[in-house]
Amino acid sequence: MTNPNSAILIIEDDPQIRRVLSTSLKAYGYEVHSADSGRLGLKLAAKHQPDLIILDLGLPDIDGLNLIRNLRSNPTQEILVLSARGTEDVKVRALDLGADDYLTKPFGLFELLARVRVALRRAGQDGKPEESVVLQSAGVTIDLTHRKVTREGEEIHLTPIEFRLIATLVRHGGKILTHEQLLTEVWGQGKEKNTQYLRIYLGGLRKKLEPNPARPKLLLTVAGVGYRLALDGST
Amino acid sequence: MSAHAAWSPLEPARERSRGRLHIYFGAAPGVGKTYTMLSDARVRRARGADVVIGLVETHGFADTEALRQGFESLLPKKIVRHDRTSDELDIDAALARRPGLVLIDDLAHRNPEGARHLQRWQDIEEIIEHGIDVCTTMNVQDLESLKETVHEFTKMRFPQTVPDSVFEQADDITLVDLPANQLLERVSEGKAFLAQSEHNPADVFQEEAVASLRELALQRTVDHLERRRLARNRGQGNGGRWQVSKKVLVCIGPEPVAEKLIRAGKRLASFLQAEWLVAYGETIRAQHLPDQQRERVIEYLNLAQELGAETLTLSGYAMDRRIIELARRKNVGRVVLERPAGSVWQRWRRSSTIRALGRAAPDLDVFLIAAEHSSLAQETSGTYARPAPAASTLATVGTRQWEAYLWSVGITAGATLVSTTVFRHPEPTNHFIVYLLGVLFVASRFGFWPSAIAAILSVLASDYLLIPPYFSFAVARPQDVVTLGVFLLAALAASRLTANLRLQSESAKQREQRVRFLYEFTRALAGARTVEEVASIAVRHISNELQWQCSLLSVNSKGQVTLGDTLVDGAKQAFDLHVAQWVFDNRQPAGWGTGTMGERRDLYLPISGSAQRFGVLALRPSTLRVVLLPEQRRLIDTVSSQISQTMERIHLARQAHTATVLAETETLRNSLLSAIAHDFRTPLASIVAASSTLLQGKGRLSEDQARELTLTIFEEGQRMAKLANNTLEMARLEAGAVRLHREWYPLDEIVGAVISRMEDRLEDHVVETHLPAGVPMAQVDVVMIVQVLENLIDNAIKYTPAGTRIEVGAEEQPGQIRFWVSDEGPGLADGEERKIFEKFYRGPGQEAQSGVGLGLTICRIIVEAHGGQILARNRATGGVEFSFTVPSTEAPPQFHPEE
Repeated sequence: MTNPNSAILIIEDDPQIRRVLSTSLKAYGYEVHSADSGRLGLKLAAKHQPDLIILDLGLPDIDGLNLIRNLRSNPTQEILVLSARGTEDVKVRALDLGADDYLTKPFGLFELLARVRVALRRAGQDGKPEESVVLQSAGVTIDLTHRKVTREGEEIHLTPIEFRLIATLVRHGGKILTHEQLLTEVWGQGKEKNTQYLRIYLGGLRKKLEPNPARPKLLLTVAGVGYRLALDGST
Repeated sequence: MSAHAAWSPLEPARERSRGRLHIYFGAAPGVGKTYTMLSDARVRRARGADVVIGLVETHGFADTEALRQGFESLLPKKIVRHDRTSDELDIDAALARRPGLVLIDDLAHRNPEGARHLQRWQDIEEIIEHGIDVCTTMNVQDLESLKETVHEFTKMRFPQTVPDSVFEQADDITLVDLPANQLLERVSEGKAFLAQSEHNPADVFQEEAVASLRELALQRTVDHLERRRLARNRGQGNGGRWQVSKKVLVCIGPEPVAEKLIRAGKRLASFLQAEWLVAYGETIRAQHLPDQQRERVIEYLNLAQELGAETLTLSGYAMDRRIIELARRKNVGRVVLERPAGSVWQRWRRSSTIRALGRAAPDLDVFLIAAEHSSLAQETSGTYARPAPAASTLATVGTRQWEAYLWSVGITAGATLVSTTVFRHPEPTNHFIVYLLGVLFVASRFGFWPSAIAAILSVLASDYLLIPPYFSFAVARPQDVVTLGVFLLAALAASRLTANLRLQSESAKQREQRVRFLYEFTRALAGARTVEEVASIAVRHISNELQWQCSLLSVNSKGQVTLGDTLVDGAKQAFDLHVAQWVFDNRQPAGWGTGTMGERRDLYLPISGSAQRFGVLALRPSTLRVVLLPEQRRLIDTVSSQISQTMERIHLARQAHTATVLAETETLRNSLLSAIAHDFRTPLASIVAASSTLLQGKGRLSEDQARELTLTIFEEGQRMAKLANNTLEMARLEAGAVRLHREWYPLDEIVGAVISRMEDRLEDHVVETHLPAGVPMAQVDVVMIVQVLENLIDNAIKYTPAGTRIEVGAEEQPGQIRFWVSDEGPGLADGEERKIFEKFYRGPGQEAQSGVGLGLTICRIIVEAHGGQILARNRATGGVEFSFTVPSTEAPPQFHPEE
C-alpha cells in the first residue's frame, strides 16, 4: 500500500523530537531528511522533493503558517502539521492554507505512522482524486461514478447537496476538511461563513448513513476544526 | 483640564510641594513695589527661572512698562459685570501653563462677582497649592489686623484686605521703602495709584500719615522675620530657647464689639507670638436672635479665621464655667473680653464672667476692650458681608411680634371678661389669678415682652374695673396699690421664667431634632458596605430630613467628577460639575457661604479622608439663608465629615480585603505549584527508573520485562501529557482569557465528536448514548463543551471497573440544554458532591491514580462561563451522574431545506 521508499522531510527545531521521529520513521523503512529551521526546511524540500513533510508550527525563524504557504507551491507534497493542544484556530488556519493533516503533541508512534500512511497513500495519487473510486467504509459503499450510496447493501437516497458533501469528503480520502473548505467546495465561493448549513446537512447525512448518529463510524466531527471521513483501518 | 486632573482618586494624594509666596511689601502705593518685583524677576529669569506674568498693572508708568516688556504674559480673563469689563487673573491659564514663577500684582485685590474666588489672595493660594511660586505686591494698609490703625492715621478706609495669615505664611517679604518726602513727591507727580479706591492719593498721604505707615510696614516686616527665625529654630529642634506662649482666648457675643475684640486679640497674639482662639458664646437667647444678627456672628468667626484664629462655639448655660474649662483645655493664658458698659445693672450683670474668672482662675490675665459708641462695627462688617440674605427676614419677625402683642391685648381682655362674669365678689386676688393665667399663657407662647405688656395691661384693667373707685385709674385704698405692685412684679417674674422655659424647650427641641437626624444618619452610614450605599443613604437622609436637593458626586478613574446614579429627580441639571471638579481637586468647599464662587446658589463640599479623596457632596439648600446659621453650618460639617469617614472606612476595608485576597491567591498558587511539582515528579521518577533499567539491563531483561518497562514509560508519559494539558488549560481559563466562540451545534454532533475522539479509551466500557429525536441544537463553544464531556467521561473511565456501563446523554429542557454522563462506579462519598469541583480535590484513596484534581475544576469554569451549572449526584441505581446545563437564551436559527 505504501511505498517504503517514500521520502519524508521533518522540519522541527526540537532535537529530541527530531531524533525520535527520524529514528522511528527510518526503522519503518522511510527515507528521512530533517531540518531544524524553516529556512533549511525550504531548501531541503526543494532539493529532495519529499512525498511528505512533517512540519512543526513553532519554528524559531519562520512562522509556521507562512512556511505552509511557501511549501504549498508544490501541490504534490503532503504536509502533516504538528501542533500543541488547545489551539484549534491555528489548526484550522493551517488546514485552510493547505496543510493536509495535523497531529497534536504529544502523540504515539502508531498514531503518527497511521497518519503518515494515509498521507503517503494520498500522495501516491499525485493529488488527482480518482473519480472512479468506490469507497467502502463502516458498512457504507459510496460509488462516485454512479452516484450511488448504499448501506448494508440497501440503496440510500441522498439529496444533491448531501451527495456533493459526501463526494467531497470521499475525494479527499480521509483528510480533515475545514468548514470553510467544505463550504467552498460544496456551495461555492462566498458561502464560507454558513457553517450552520453544513452542520445541518451533515447531521442529515449521519441520520441516513450511520446506525447511531451519536456514535458516528463514518462521518467524524473534529470539534472546532472540521470533518473527515473514517476510512476502514484509519480511524 | 490642568495637569492635576490626572490624579487617580484611588492612590493616596501625592505630597504636593507648595510653591513659594514672595510678597513685595510697601508702606503705601507708589513706593515702587511692582517695579522692584519686575526687576527681581528679570534677574531670576536671567538665572534660568521660568517666569510668567500672571497679571501686572503698570498704570501706564513708562519705566515699569519698559521692565515688563519681554516677559511672557498670560492673557487676562475678561469678566463683564454691570457693563464694565475688568481684566482679572486667569487661574486656569496659570495652572495649565505651570511656570516656575508667576508674577501677580496686588494681593489685596477684590475680584468682581463671577470670578472663582472672592479675593485675589485666594487665587494666589490656589496657584501656590499647585506648586507654582508666586511673586506679588501689597501695602501695609491692606493687612486685615491693621485696618483700624490705618484708619486712625489716614482717616481713610480701604475696602480690600488680606488676612494676616496669608502675610505671615509668606516665604519671603521684600520691603520696598521710600523716604516720606520722596514718596510724596511721587504722589504729587501722579505716580501713585490706589487700586479700587475712590480716594485721591494726594488726600491719603499727608506726611505724618506716611511716616506712620512706613513705621507700621517696617514693624510688620521685622515681625515676619522674627517669626521665621523662631519657626526655623523650632524646626531645628532648638527647643530650649523656644517658649510656647500660652494661647490668647477672645470671647465674643453677637454684639458688634466682637469685631473690635477680634482685632485686639489678633494684635495681642501677634505681639506675644502666641496662637489664639476666638470663642463665640451662644447662649440660649442667642439661638433666637434675628437671623441677620446671627449671620453677623458667622462673619465675625470668618474674620477671626482669616486673621489666623482657631474658632469655636460655646453653647449652653453657665458660660463662665465653659470659658474656664476651655481655657484650661486649650492652654490659654490670656482672655480678651468686652468691658461691661451700659447701665449700672447691665454692667453688674455683664461683669459676672469677669468675676467668675477672677474667682476660679486667678492665673488668667483678663483684657477688657471697650465697645465704641460709633457705628463703626456696623459699617465695617459690610466688608465681610456675604451675598445679602433675603430681605424678608426682619419683616417676618415684625409680623410675628405684632401678632404677639395683639394676642396679649386679646388675652387680657378675655381674662377681664372671665373674671368679671365668673366672680361676683369684687375680691381682687381671685381676679389676679385669672390675669396671671393669661400672662403666663402669653409668655409661654410669645416670649417675655408680649407677656410683660399683658401684665401691665392686666394691672391697668383691674385697676380700672375691679379696684374702687371703679371705672377710674385712681386707687382709693393704699393696700390696693401694694396689691397691684406685687401682682405686677409677680407677673413679670413669672413671665420671665416661663419665657426662658419656652426658649429652653424650643432650643432643646431643635437640638434634639439635629441630634436625632445625626444619630439616624450615622447609624445608617455605619451599616453601609459600599460607596454606592453611602451615596444613597446620604442623598436619602439629606433630601428627606432637610428637604435639600443633594447629590454625592463620585469620581471616575481619571479623577474626573461625574454624576452618579444616586441623584434625586431633577438634580442632574442642578449641579455644576466644573465647580465640583474644582472642589475635588483643591479639597476646599465652594459655593454659597464660602469664599469661593460664593455667588452660587448651591454648596459643594469635598469628601476626603486622611490620604484619599472620594468625591464631592453637592447641596442645594431649600432656603439659602439657613446655611449661614451656626447650627446648620455645624450640621453640614458633621454630615460631610461623617460621609468622609464612612468612605474612608469602606476604602480601608476594601484595601484590607484586597490584601487578604492577594495573600490567599499567593497561598493558592504556592499549593498549586507544590501539587503540580509532586504530580510531575512521580511519573518522571517512573520514566527515569524504567528507561535507565532498559538502557543498562540489556541482555539481562526478558522480552516481557522489557516490554513491561517500556509500557510504564509510555503510560507515565501519557499521564504527564494529560497533566501538562490540564495545568495549561487551567492557567488559561483562570487568567480570564476564556473567549467563548458560541455557535449552534446539533446535540448529536457534540456527543458524537466526543465519543469518536475517545473510542479507544472507551474500549473496556459499554457506552450508551441518549439523544432526543429531531435536531435539537445548543449554542456553545464546541471545543470547550467537548472538553467538558471528555473530562467527565475520562473521570468515569478512571473510577469505574472495566465492563461497566457509561451513559452519555443530552436533552432539551425549558430554557436550557442538559448534558449528562453517568457511570456504575462506587459513587461519591457524602459531601463530596461539591468538593470534587474544587481545585486539587481527589477522591479518597485515589491519590495515585489521577493527576492534580484539575479536570473537574476546568469543567466547572467552562460551564459557568457558558452561564450554566454543573452538578454531581449519586444515582439511586448506583454510580454517579455528572450533569451540566447550558442556557439557551435565543431560539436556534431556522433552517430552510435545500435549493
